[in-house]
Amino acid sequence: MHYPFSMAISDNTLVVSSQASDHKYGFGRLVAIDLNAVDQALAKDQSKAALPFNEIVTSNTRIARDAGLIAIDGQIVFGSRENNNLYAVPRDQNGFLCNDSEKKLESCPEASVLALAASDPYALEFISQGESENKILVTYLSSDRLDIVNLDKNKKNNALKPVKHFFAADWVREKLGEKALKDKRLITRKIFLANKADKDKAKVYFLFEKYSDKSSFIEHSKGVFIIAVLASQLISEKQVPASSIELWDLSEQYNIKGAQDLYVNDEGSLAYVLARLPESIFKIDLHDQKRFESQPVCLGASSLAVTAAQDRLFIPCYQDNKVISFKLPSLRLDNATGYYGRGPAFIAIDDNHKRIFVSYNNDNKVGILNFNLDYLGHIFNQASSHSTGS
Amino acid sequence: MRRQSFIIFSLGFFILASCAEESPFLTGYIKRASDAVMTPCDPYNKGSLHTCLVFSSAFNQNLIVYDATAEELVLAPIPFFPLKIKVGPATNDLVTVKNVNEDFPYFLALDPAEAAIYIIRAFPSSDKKHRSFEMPLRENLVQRDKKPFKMAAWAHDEDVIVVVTYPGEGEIELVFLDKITGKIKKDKSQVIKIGSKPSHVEINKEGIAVISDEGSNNIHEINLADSNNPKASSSYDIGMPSDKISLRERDFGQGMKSYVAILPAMGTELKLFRLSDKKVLDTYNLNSHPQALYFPDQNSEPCCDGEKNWIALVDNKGKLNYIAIKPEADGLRLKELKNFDLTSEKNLSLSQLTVIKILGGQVIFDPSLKQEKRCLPNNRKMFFISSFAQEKPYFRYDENLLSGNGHEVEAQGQSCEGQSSAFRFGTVSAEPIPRKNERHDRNER
Repeated sequence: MHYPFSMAISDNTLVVSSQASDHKYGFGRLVAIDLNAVDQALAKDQSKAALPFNEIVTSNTRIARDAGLIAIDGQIVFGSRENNNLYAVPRDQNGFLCNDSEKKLESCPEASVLALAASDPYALEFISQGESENKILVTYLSSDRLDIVNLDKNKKNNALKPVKHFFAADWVREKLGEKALKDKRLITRKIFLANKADKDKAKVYFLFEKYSDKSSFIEHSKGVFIIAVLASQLISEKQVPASSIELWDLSEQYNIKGAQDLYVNDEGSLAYVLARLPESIFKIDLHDQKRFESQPVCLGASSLAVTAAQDRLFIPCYQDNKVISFKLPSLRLDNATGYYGRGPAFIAIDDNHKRIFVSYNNDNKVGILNFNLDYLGHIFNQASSHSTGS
Repeated sequence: MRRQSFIIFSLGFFILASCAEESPFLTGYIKRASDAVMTPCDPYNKGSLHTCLVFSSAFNQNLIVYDATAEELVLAPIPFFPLKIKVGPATNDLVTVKNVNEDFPYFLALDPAEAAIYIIRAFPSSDKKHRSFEMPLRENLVQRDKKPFKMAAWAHDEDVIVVVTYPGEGEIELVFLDKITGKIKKDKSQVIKIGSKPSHVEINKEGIAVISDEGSNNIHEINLADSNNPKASSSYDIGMPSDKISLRERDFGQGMKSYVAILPAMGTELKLFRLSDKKVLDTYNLNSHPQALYFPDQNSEPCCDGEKNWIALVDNKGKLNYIAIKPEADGLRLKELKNFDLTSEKNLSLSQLTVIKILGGQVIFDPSLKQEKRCLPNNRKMFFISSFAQEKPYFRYDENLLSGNGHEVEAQGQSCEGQSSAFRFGTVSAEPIPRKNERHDRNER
């Protein structure tokens, strides 16, 4: 595993993908890890060394480079920014099918691949789960296109099929008028599904960034919107009516010009936004936009993760090489780590065992910390200090 | 040709020679402040009395000291770098001790992650065994499993009593430190249940502690001077959950009284509360989000065309608002005076600014430095402590082109108290002021 990046946890399985932007690697990896085995390995050996690979890794396959974020349900789904494909691989009790560390996922008969209509698929989410099919919402880092894709549970491969799409810019123009996006474009930085368990109340919150239309990757984002739409309306409506769209202009209200991640509580009353410009964590009252507070964060805050109890929020800081945590809902600083590894990028929370997994992107390892941010050990062999990745 | 070379060489020599009189400000070390405190200090153990601003950056594990009297960072023994005082991984709340002399030896820093207080010397000890800004003493709080939030400290008899808030537990802890050594007296520690989520705390010279509450509409008062028994507290309804507060003794024409300026936990109002009446005198609605508040003491300079009584607020967009406190028949009123943009080009010249605190007061003047006072007559200044700042882009001919918003920069700002202009540390709008060169003495640390 090199450059571990995105992670997701479901039941007792942690899935990790790598993002091998380094072109010396022709492929990325997808790995499933048994969390009960991790628990046993940690109990056996408290030396904080790498946990034995063969005892904890249950599935391992090669994938395309530049995998985006992972969504996990009965299938593991992710997009690749290398080839703009969407991938789905079924899970089993050991991890996932297509368990062959030397073969690429495309060659696995059980995997499904779909060529997407836009570039840079990144954030995605299961927005409905039915008996025979699931619906996946796919978003892109370089456009405002939003795709709904069907995942047929009865098919072993070719299970993915595009159903419909929207353009978020249309929603913004409907709510704010044409001028709001004059010479500007939107990209989707992140999505969050609140109230997952309730089919009627499940709501998708989109975090959009606004850029100049004359695109340049070097420029800074010029504004941030949050838009909320009921998941059921995304699935059933051809066009989402403006009255069903809730919009918050974060640049106007809070002077937030760029943002990385967000979390919304189940009541839909509080949003926690990890802003990049200014680099701070914001707590915003979605019902009363006059009410908010913010706290400074460490350098290169890349993402956030919230416990199932909604009482703690974790932020890895890629540049500062540390992880910090805040108590919720108060947003008070709780803990900050020292140096455990280089380039922490994402965090997956194991609520059952009260642990977090941190992908140390430049150190080639996934760190294991408890909720107090004490270092317990790591998965995969750490890169030498003279190199990045492996 | 020879003459031209000579002229160029001479010019170069004179330029360099004049630059050698002044060392450049070491920028970049106080970029993301999470707190700061203004304290008297003797930065180089030379028996001098200066004013220092000590900055914490919660994730840097160090404190950095700015000598506001000399207008430069306090240097490390290797003079190419600022002095760094090692503290904990999340140290972010800095306080001075009230009710002490100017040369009280230490100030305090709180680390919520470690549940510990750091005691940092600002003056050397009389026996010279301890030096200014040496490695701090760290004292663990008694309640190790709970997360402290904010604190305030007050000296009384042989003790320094530190009030520490625990909003998650709805309680405060009274921590007793030895007044001379700073060591904790664990057996005297007391926990008091108070309010819903006690948040910020301030203490005046008489030992009255005022505590804001982000979980209820009350603020709380506790009298630390009563006795060593658990203190009874009083609670007053102010109509909103509260956050930052500033407690001052002021005379607004009705005699010297205790006033509390209060910011909301999440809203946009400023409230002025008088302790003797136990009531809110007025509420001012700022149409943006107040981030920092400065309630000057009785000796403040006037602002805004001679207005003597005022409060300053900075909002989340970097606008500085001056609010007048006007006596009226039935009390006091808060009225908008003036506002100006700290981010404008004639001030800090930024595209984005987050100010988390405003400090102010008289900066001690040291005549041995042969500097002129920048702020007349009493050298009173305001310091804008920022946790994030982004500069304006260099190229602005088309906002759509490259360098959209500029880079993150250090932008701690200062101004003369009550003024409408500010400048960044390390930049000076006036002529350079010549001063005695002390560089060769710094290695004595």
